[in-house]
Parts: sequence; C-alpha cells; structure tokens
Amino acid sequence: MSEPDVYPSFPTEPETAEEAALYAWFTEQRIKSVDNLEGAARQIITLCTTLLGLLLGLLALTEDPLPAHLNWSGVQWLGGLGVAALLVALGGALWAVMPWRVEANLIDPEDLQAKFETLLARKRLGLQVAVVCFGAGMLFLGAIVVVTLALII
Amino acid sequence: MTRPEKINLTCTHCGHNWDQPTAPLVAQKAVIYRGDKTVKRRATCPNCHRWVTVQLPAEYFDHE
Repeated sequence: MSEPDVYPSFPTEPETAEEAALYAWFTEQRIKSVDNLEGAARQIITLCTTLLGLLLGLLALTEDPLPAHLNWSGVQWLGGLGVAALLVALGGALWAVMPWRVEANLIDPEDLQAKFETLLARKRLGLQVAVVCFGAGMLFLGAIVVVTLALII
Repeated sequence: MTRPEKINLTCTHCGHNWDQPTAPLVAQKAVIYRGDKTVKRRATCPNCHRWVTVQLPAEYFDHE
C-alpha cells in the first residue's frame, strides 16, 4: 500500500478588509465595463455629431468669397484632417454601440465568459479608435483656431 | 526550487485542511521585484468557500 503524498504546508491568513473591498470593486467594474464603454461611446457620438453639424452649418452660412485667412492651404488641410478624424471617431463609437447578435449558452459558464470577452474586446477596440480619433480631431480643430487667430491678429 | 504539484493549506475561517493545486495559483502573471521572497495569492476554501491568502515562494513562479 503506497503512502499518501505529503505536500508542503503554508500558513494562510484571512483577507484584509481592503483586499476584499478591492476584489469586490474590480469584479464589479469588470461586469459594468460593457455599460461604461457604451456610455462613453454614446457621449463621443453626441460630441462628434454636434461638432460635425456645427462645422456643416458654418460651411453653409459662410460668406462668399471666404475670408482670406480661411483660404490659406494650411487651414484647409487642418480642417479636412479634423473632419476626417471626427468621422473616423464617429465610426469607432458607432461600432462600439452597434447591436450584435450574441448566442450564449446560459448553462455554460465558460461559454458566457468567452462571449463576454468577445463583446468587451469589440467595444473596447471601437472606443479606443473613437477616443484617439476624437482627440486628434480636437487637436486639428484647435490648431485651426490658433492659426486663424495668428493670421487675423 | 521545484514547484510541488500541490500545497497543504488550512482555512483560517473554518479550520478545514486541504491540498491546493499550485498550478491555478501561479497561472496568473506576477510582477516579482528584485529581493521579493514571496508572492501573495488568494485561494478558496473548498469547505466554507471563503477566501484566504497565502504567501508562495517567488521561485514557484520561475516555471511560468
């Protein structure tokens, strides 16, 4: 008859209140991350559509011929890049909130976990693109304001 | 130091004693700073299902 395996013993400690609270907080954040990502994406959609609408309105109401400082090719390039960046940001945000059919087996925890990860990865990618492009768009539009002011003054 | 297949733990909540496989405990990446001798990990008591923490030797993580 073989002897039972003897494994090394290690002392254990109960979790501290802070460790337990941190674990609970991270677990909660993980589950809420899909809603948080969607909320951020909707915010970017609102900002992008408002800014693009504003720019379209400015283009429609602008006087003809354009003021001299707007005819400078640098301003036109910055404007074009800014609008393009905002459009890409809008696309990324829409990708993050786009309805997506997910077939999950509710009695299979591993399947639920895998589907959750897939869903999260898609929304995360869309929002990352949206945030970076929105930031770039803001930089371009901000540069227009600075350049225009410099040309006017 | 060779990592054992299991380690023996005693729950601080209910006193239950069990052999905990080490693979799940060292499966997650750990940042081990120079001079660190141990790495803290959480384990679930199979009896009362509450968490306990255990300090594992840093050498156990060399295999990952």
